[in-house]
Formats: sequence, structure tokens, C-alpha cells
Amino acid sequence: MKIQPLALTLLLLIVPCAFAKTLPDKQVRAVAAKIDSLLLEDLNAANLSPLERIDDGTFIRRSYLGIVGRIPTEDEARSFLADTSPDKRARLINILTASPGFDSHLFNWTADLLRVQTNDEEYGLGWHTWLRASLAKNKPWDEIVHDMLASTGHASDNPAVGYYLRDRNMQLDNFSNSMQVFLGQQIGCAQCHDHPFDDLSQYNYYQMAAFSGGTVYASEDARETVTRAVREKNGLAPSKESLQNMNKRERRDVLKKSQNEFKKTASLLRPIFRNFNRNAVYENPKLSLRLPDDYKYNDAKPGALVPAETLFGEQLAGIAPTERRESFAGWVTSEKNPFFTKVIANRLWERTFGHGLLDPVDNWKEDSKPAHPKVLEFLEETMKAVDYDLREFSRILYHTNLFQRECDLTEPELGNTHLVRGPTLRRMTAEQLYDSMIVLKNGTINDSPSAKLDQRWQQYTLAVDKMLNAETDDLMILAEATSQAEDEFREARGEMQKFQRAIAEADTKQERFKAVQASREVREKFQKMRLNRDPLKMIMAGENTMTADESPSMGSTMMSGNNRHNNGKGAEQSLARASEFPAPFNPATLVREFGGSDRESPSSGNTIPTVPQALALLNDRQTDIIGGKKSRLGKRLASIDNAQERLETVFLCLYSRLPSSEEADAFEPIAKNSIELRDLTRAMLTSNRFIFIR
Amino acid sequence: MKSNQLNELSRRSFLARTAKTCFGLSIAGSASQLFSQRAFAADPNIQKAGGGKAKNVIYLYMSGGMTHIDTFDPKPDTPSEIRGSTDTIKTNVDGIRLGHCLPLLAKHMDKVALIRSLSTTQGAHEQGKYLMHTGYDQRGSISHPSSGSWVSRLAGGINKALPPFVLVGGSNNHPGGGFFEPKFSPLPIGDPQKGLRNIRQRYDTKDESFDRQLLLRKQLDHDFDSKFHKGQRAVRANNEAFDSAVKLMRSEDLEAFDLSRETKASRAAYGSEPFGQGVLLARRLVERGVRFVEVEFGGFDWHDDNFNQMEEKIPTLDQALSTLLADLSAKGLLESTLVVVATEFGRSPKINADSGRNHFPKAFSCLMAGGGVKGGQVYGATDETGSNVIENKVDASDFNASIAFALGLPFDLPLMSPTKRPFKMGGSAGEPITKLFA
Repeated sequence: MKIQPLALTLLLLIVPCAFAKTLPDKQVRAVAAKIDSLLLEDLNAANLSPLERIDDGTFIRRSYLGIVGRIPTEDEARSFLADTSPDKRARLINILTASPGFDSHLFNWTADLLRVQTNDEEYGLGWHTWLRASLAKNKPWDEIVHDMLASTGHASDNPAVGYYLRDRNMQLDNFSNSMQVFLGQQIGCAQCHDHPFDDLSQYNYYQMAAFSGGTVYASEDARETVTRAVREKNGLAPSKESLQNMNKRERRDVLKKSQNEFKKTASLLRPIFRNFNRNAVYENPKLSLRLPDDYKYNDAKPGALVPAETLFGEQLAGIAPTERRESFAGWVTSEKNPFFTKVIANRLWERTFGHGLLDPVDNWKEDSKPAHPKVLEFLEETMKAVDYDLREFSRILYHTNLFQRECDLTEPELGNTHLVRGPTLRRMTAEQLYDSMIVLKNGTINDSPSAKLDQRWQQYTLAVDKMLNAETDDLMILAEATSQAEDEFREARGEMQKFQRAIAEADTKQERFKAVQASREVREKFQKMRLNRDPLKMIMAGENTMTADESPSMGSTMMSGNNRHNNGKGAEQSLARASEFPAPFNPATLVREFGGSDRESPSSGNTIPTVPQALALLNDRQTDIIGGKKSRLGKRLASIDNAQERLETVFLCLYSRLPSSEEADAFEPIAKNSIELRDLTRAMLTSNRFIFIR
Repeated sequence: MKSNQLNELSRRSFLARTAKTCFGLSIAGSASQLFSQRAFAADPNIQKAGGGKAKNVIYLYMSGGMTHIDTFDPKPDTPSEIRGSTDTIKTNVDGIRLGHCLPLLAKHMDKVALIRSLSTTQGAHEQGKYLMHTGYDQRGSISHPSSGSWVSRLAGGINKALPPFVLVGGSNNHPGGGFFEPKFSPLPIGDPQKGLRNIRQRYDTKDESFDRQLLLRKQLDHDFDSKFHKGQRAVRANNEAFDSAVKLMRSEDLEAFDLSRETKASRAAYGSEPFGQGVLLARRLVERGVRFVEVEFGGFDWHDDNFNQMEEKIPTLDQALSTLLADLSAKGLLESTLVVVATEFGRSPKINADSGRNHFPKAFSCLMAGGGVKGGQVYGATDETGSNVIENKVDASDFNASIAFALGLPFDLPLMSPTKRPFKMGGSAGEPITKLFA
């Protein structure tokens, strides 16, 4: 049964523009109501009823955590609960969706999906800040994806190339990943053999991967700079006129000499741009993807060139070599692509309500049967109608009645169709917990993007620019210094191999122990040399704005920056949210301990409870919101005489609601005593009611 | 060889009937209690066949796909386009050779069995890692338990206060406990040098306060739990983690997690990198009664600069592994501790344009030692270039069946998922490599 594009009708009054503006409330509610009625149809057909409407306390907590990624402050909770206006919930949703807190929360989710690693080479930082800014300014999803898939050049110029650089030299893995993340297709295993279940052969896989077959992980800008410098240094090649006046032998000698000089200078200069090659891509129209050497099927020869062709959706074939990536980007993000829109719509549905209409969210087949197929179709239309504006799409979901229903008591079964009576109960993510701790300790939080990260990226782009436009003489000096560093590195490696042989040849335990000890120093030197041979670091060290230690590529500062903020000491002062730190966080930090993403696979963040987490909530200094003389909450409670008020305060801070009358009876006596109240507060922090989001 | 004939379903119903009449407790509660109190004893049939000697497992996972021909399966007679700068060294076992970055391990070859014939069709990291850990292909519809959780479930814990399964340095995408109940999931230690943190009550908290806190937590969650505990695995897991945490805090065995109690020499011997310290922690935990410890070592995905990275990284494995074997042997624990080195796939013999090697699931190597494994042997073989398995192919399910076999556990006992489908530690049809133990 075909659904009329009702969403389009409802949203007709939108003036299309580059970045969609907010929709009029009336229309948002109409679209949301349609979603609710379609859900209801299915529930009625299955003799199920939707769950009850949640109370204000549950609502405010769910809205803040779901929309801006943190618990409300005591004041925010108090004022909302006291507000008697009938439309306060809708107003709150609109305020929260428009706030910068929404950006921070959405960024965590998106960066996890894309596996952004802030400190990967230099580009990582640029990709991180570019994505953060793109989401904050409402760049439509299809444009974000298109920007990334079609990107080329050096990261300092076009940070979106970070998407490709994330899988540098692993072009096929990158392609598999694109298919999974954007189109929900699990075709990775077809890289090595015909797909066992689906109709996809290894050849098919290569046909689609071939769109990025001309991608080279190197910097064209760097190559051009080298060429320019070589010409400057050695003058132009001998002119035709001068050659004409020579005999054959002379001509040959002159040409050979000039070629050798060119080669020599080039080989001196190229190494200093090696880092550039780790942070740039370019398209080589003459390069194409070939089948692997051990291709075993009969349909093609091993090593054969594979022409790029799409296998579903819009047919793309015979594309000009210069257009391959651009075409692919267009094909993936096209409204006509059978999966692009439904995948992002379903992902956002899962993000909002806890479980996808199709679950898992990245395994779509042609015969996939989502729960509520009409809802999904409608969501697709809606996504197109809002021009892929993730904020507005989310806002529509938040305005449904579904968003205000009680959580289902039983979790959905993996892989089974799950009819939606209410949202799914979920634990806070690591970032939600981290950010909520900031609120508990400070009573406020800073939602803005980190100026520090932006600054560091600026400094890097300036240094890159400097190097690409440097005087030839300066480049030659840099080349000399780099070559020296290389020699020292090779020497260190040779020494290391000698020591390894000594270990192998040691006869006695003592000798072996000595040899191992001796080799360790050399090995450390080797590792240091390996890192320090980078000329860009030398340039940045020369800048008076930063030292080599502070340069973006020095992962250590970034990481220790994490630690500085994540240990007990700095935490009170830091109001910066988890999204403003380089990711992934270090293992054994609070964020990682609670399942924060390691950015190794798409959406790898998890909310699996563990013993170290329980210990952290029980005993860690970072989670102590009430102990000690400096505790803000402690001081606040000490200033309140009345036990009832004290109890209300802790309930508002931790649970964003007032105690029920039974709770008041049970706990007010406890609230009279400050030690007991402290224990109660700590108990609340470790309770399921705190860390789960109803 | 005869496999364990126990039928999980009939056992459960027996326990259920008993529970109803004797304890009046929930079925799950009493059944699990009875099950864990039952002393774990290796299946006598497996013991007859040479297995069942191990009580513990130390599982070292090289994440990213560790090259095989530069390490456990060197090919000295190949041209440099394949061999690269890798040399081959002799070991203390005639006829067995290793790549030159493993000189220390070479002195312990007599304890080690190399398995050179691993072969799968999973050339992607996540899928390959999942397959090696669970014995099953990754599917959207189910989450299979990893070998550590299988061992926890089938063999139970040893020490009541310590978890049966600890994962050191694990990444987010570790399959963990899969569909098993939360208590079989690993306890994760992010940084072995930091160990298990936050184990002491806050400085300002007397015991009376702490106990009050625990009681109040239960009170506060009473309504929530009565609604959600039964139908929400995550809630059960959270409560489980909380109870275990409190138990651990009160246990004397906590010091098992504390590396600072090891001597300086001991810590130096394992190597100062987190991996080496993780292996030391594993030995320590096993000594004190943790059944299964997995230590993950990331960064083996050498698509470029294979040889420099090899020089940098393999020595860390070499040092940690050889020290572990020597240490276990000296303490008389080698026979009862199965040591495993695994990875998701190998790397292409043909060196690519970036001096690297690409993913290669068709042929790769793993290692087992201790736990009754007969050392000084090579199981399986690849061709001259390490490109194809030519003898005794082993897949992930055989590999995990062998781990079960070493412990005397029923590798083919089907256990039901919540969706009523049967799964086994040895995958759907895995067979243990008995030759490793005979």
C-alpha cells in the first residue's frame, strides 16, 4: 500500500534554502501526530495498546538526556516542575533542540558512527572540528556525507578528507565501511569471496569499490611544491635552441646531467613532505581498481581491471575516470538511493527511542521487514522533506506522543520485529554520564565547542601553508635537517637488530638478561627517532606560538589533557563536555570505563555495566558529588535547615523530580542528619534510577 | 571420542523441580547456585584422550591481524618480494624456526605448539575477531559468547570473590558474554598498571555509612527493579555488577589486581609496555584463582611499513610471552595453565606498494602452550610462500573446541540462547585438535 507523501504536504510552506530553517510548530506537530497515528494503527491491529504518558519528572529527565545529553540542573528541574502552562513540554523540546547542548550530544553520536579519531596523524583534528561545526550549523546530512565521499586534497584545505584518511592505505575497508554506515549494507566479506548468502559476488564488490579506485593517499600539493623548488634550484631544463647547437654526444651528456640534478634535488626534498602524504588524498584518473592476484572465480581474470558500476538503485556505469568519486558521492546521497534515507532515518529513530524499526540498524536487505513499515516509509518522506536536517527531523520525533510514553518493561529481542508501545529503557552513555557529573558538581555546564581544538587546527593549517609556500633555500635547509634525522633513525634501528641477535645468542640467563636490558634503551631511542624525523614538527617548533610538544600531532598533550581533566583535581574546574575532548579517551578514564567508544568500529560505544563502573560510582573521587568541604552540593545542603527542603533538593539534583509522599516519609528523617543525607545522596548516584533513562 | 552426554535442558528441569520443593526460590537463582557449587571436574573421556589438564587459560589476542610469515611461520627460502627484511632464526627445538624478532620465544619452543594452518574466510577485522572469539560468524540476530565466557559458564569460577573472566586492555567490540547472563561477562581492566581502581571506600566513609548506602540503594530502586529487573538484561547486569563490586571490595583477593606487589625485577622481565604488564597481571590473576584472563594487544594491522612496525612491536610480544612461559614453568603452573596466542587473520605474503601486508585470512598462525599441550611441535603447514594451508586446516571453531578440550570441557554441549537456539563452545561443528595434547 503506497503512502502519499503526506510529509511533503504538511511541510509545503518551507522555503528551500541551503541550511533549512526551523519549521513552524504547527507543522512539526502535524507530522509527529501522523507518526503516532501510524504506530497506533499497527498496535491496534496486533491488539496492543500504547503505554501510558510519563509524568513531568520522567519527562524532564528524558528530554534533557535525550536531546542535550545531560541531566537537568536543580534549577532547570525545579522551574519546569513548577511551571503550570499546558504546553510546557512542547516548549521545552523546542528550546532544547535549538540549544548548543543538542550539537554536543549529536556530535558524540555522529563521531562514534564515523569513527573519528581526533589524534590520528594531523588530519584527525581537522576532521573532528569540521564535523563538530557542520552539525552545529545544521549542514544537512546528505551534504555532510557528500562532502566526505567526494573530498580530495590536503586535510588543511579540506578536512572532510579525514573520512578517507581514517582508513589510509585500506581503500577497500573504507569502502566496506561506507556501505555499512551510510547504506546499511554488510558486504565486507565479499572482499575476499562471493558473499555466502546474498546475491553479491566478489566481482560485484570490486565493481562498486572501483569508484574510489583512483584514490591515491598522497599530497598533490606537496608534489607540486617539490617540482617548483627543483626547477628553481636547478634552473629550467636545457632549452631546445641550446640543444640544437650541440652534437649528439654533447646533447646526451647535457640532458643526462640536468636530469640527474633534478633527480637529486627531488630526492632530497621529497622526504620532507612525507607527512603531507599521510594527510592528503588526490584522484589519479589513470589509476583503476584491479582484482586481487588470487582471484579464483571464472567470471574474470586475476588482476583484471574492474570498471566502476553500481549494483542497485540508480544505474551508474561508464563514468569518466575524473568523475568517479563525485558520482559515487552523488549516488550514495541521492534521494533515489533505496537505502540512504531509510538508514539515517532508522538510525535517528534508534537514537531517539532506543531500538531501530529495523534492528540491527546497519544490516538492510531487499527483503528486510522492519517493524511498522508504514512508519518507516513516512520517516523517509519526512527526512527528504526536511532536506536531511538532522535537528529538525529529531525535533519531529521528540514531538511525538511516543516520546512521552513509559518505557516498555521488556526489552526487544535481538533480531525480532518489535512493536513499539513505548521507548526502550536505556542506560546513560558514557558521555551522558560524564556530562551529568559536571552538572552535579558545578550546577552548570559549558555547551560550546572547544576553542582550543579549533586553535590548534588553525596553527597546523598555517604551518602547512608556510611549508607549501616556502622559499626553495629554506626547503633545502629543512631537507638537510630531515636527512640527518633519517640517518640517525637508521643507525638506531641497525643497533637494535644487533642487540636482538645478541639476545638470541646469549647462553646464560644473566647474559640474556643483560642483553635485554641493554636493548631496551636502544629500542626507546629507535622509537623516538621514528617519531622525530618529521619536518613539519620542526617548522611548528620554530613558530613562537607553540612548542613542538603542543603541536596537534603530539598525541601526548592531547591525551594528558584528557587526564588533566579527568582526574579528581581538575574536574571541579572543568565545565567542558565530553564532546570537547580528543577522542577516543584513554583506557581507564571515566568515559572509557563506562563504555565510551574506542572509535575502532562504527558506533562502538556501549552501555554494558561492569564491575569497575560500579566501583567508580561507589568510590571514585570523580563521582563524589557531596563529600568534602569544597562540594557545591554539600555546601548547598548545609545551608538549608529544613529536612523536607533538603530531601527535595537532592531529589531534584539526582532524579529531577520531587520525592513521592512515601519517599518523603521514608527519607525525611534521614535528611535531618547530614551524614545520613550524604549516604542517601551517594546511594542515589549508584542507583539504577539514576543511570537508567526512563 | 565420546562427548559429554549431559543435556542442558533435562538438567535444568531436574534442578527446577528440586528448587520448587526445597528452596522456594526463583528457578534461575537456585539453579545457578547449585551449578556453581558443583565442583568442576574434567570429563574423564576427554582426559583419556589427553585433554583436561588445564584449569586456567591465559589468552593473548593480537588485534589487527598479526603477520604469520614474519613470526610463527617464516619462509626463509622465498624471494625478498615476499620475505622482506625478515630473517629466520633457529629455536631450541630442531627443525622449528621463527621470525628473527622472536629470539626469546625461540628459547622456549620446547613448551610451545605452533598451529600454522588456521584458515577462515573472514578478512574484515570486526568479523574476523568475532569469529575467532566466538566460533560463529557475526549475525545481526544474536550475540554469541566469547571463549572466555564459555569457559566461565562451563567450568565456573575458582575463587568465590574473584570474577571467572577478566579482560585486560580489551577494545569496545570484544564480543564479551554474548547472550549468556551478565555474570559470565568479563570484568574489564583498561590499564593493567592501574589495575582495579576505586576498591577502597571513600576516606570519609565509615563501614556503617557504607552499609547504609547499600541498603538505601535497594530501597530507592525497589519500584524500578520490580518493574524492570526481570525484563531488562542491562538492569540485571547493573545489579550483578554492583553486587560483585561490593563483594570484591570486601575480599582479600583484591590484591590479585595490584601489580605494585610484584617485584621490580618481575615487572621489568615482562616488559614495561602495557601489554607486558597485562600479561604479568594475567599470570597473577590466574595464580589467585581467576579462571580465564584475556589480554588484548592492539596495533597489528600493518598495511604499510610492515617491517619497521614489526621491529617495534614483536619484541614486546616476544618478551612478555617468553617470560610468561618461564614464569609459569618455574612456579609449576604451566601444566595447569593453557596459554593461547590468537589473532583474526594473517597478512599477505606478497608485500604491497607501501611496504606493508594486507589482510590474509586464508592462512595464518596461532600458538598454544601449557595446559597439557605437548610442546616442541608444529601442527599444520602452509605452502612455500605461506599463501595456502596444505596440511591439517584448522578453523575458529576447531580452535575454540581445542581450548575446551584442554580444560576437559564439553566443547559440543549445546546451550540455548534466549531465542531457544542451541550454540556450542566449539561452534556448530568444531573438532578439538587432539594431536596438540596427546
